[in-house]
Amino acid sequence: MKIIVCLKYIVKEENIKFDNNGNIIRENVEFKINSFDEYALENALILKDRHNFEIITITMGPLQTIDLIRYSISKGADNGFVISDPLLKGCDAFITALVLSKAINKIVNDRFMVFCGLKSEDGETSIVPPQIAERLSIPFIPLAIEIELNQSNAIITSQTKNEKIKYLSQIPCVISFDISKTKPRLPSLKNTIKAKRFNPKIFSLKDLELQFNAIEKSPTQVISYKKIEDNIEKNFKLIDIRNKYEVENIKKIIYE
Amino acid sequence: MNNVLIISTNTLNIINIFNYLKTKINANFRAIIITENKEVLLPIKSCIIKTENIYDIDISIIEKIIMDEKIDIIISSSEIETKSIISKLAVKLESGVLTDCYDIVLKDNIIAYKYALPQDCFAEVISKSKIKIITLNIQNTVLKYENLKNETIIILPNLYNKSNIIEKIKTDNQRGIEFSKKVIGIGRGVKPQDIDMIKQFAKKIDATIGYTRPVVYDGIGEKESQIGISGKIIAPDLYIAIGISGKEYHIKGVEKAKKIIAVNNDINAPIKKHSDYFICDDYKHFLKVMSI
Repeated sequence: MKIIVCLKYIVKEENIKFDNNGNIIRENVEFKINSFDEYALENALILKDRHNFEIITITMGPLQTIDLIRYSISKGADNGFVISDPLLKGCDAFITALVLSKAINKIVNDRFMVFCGLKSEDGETSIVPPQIAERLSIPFIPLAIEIELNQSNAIITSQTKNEKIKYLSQIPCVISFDISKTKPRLPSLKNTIKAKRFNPKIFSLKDLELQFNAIEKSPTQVISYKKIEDNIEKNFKLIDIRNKYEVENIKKIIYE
Repeated sequence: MNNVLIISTNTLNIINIFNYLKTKINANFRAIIITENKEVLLPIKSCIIKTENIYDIDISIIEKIIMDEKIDIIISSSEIETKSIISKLAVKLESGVLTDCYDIVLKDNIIAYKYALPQDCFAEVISKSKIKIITLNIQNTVLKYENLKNETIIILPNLYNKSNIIEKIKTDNQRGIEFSKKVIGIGRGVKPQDIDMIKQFAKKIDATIGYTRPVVYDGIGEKESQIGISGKIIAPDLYIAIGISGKEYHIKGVEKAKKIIAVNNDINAPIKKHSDYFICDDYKHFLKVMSI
């Protein structure tokens, strides 16, 4: 059984800048792994610990994202792929899901699952995982916090606002994971050494039998970004907590 | 005239979206609610797709309604359950989805507005697709049902039978931060090992704890207690912000608080402009002084 884990790299908040098309500049900037994807990866690694499944990570972005795949190898993933093509720059979630689905089809044969993070920290659309499922014609379960296997099915525990729901799903399936109490593991020394030597295969659009300019093909478009205006400003009072009168006033408010 | 379809898994969301849209768009409105419940009252002609497991339905049924009713605009709510259906539908319709928008304007095209996280910006976005699909994130102003009459049909959808629900447990429904009169917000400026200290202080002053988005995404704070645009909008009598810089997406979540006290050892922290009282000091010192 193969578990494909989709990873996205997120430009660190303090480094975010936009190009003239209103897209985040992703080249040569410091990035981090999308937090939700850490939980998808950890749940995949837990299943590897139990059942010795093969964990394959994939990501889409500039060549710099090779480091993201190496990071996943340092945690225990077995293999990884990067989809990188200049024509993909500035694509939206619809195109991302299309491209990832094509890549997954190329990598797997019969028995597999696809794990994703519930959403990305930058876009927060949550569109990609269900669209991958729809394109692959396989079931989709979101909000997962736990997964186990039962013979040929997956038992997925999802946490909604008010309920914990257990689903029994056929395999293959797509599951999106939420942040949970399961703590993502740290890289191991052995795997970190393996990761340093690892070179993931790189797919171009041509390798996936796709040919388009992503910005033109993307069905959604950002027209502009504008700073949020400071609508409500207050005349704040600067409090010195070494001044006992000011402290008493604040205490009155706090303990009221 | 446009033909608008409102989709949700929640009746109140549909009512609120309809109330919002009727002031914006001159259109024929239809609704689809995907739910286990048979009894649903809505102000517009609607269809109940009755199912327990929303993820197993064959969404061609929704596609058929869209074609039959000549729908050109689909508006839905933004919770994950509904978004999952909408995302799959978008593949069938080969349409883009504009997600989590807080406002729309109808000109030659529909322009939607959404907060662009994590920057303190908003984005103007459009769909180039023939059928526009937008998920809205608006505050529910209608909180209960009124006397509604409508035409409703109930549809039992085809199921793929590839997944099913085997267990459902109601989880501990503690009253959330949105119901508390006093809330302490914990930001990235607080060391994880000091959170217990703040929790003890919260107990002392009868406050609940909320967290900023980065603290939740770091796996430290609970998701249900996230404050801000992508979490909860709260309006307590008192909000104490500890170690919070004051990004706009957080401020939007607390600006309705009656009083805001901010504690941050950075004199230039933007949060001070949104506070009634600003304490530029180490939070541990603040807690110590306030606890005496």
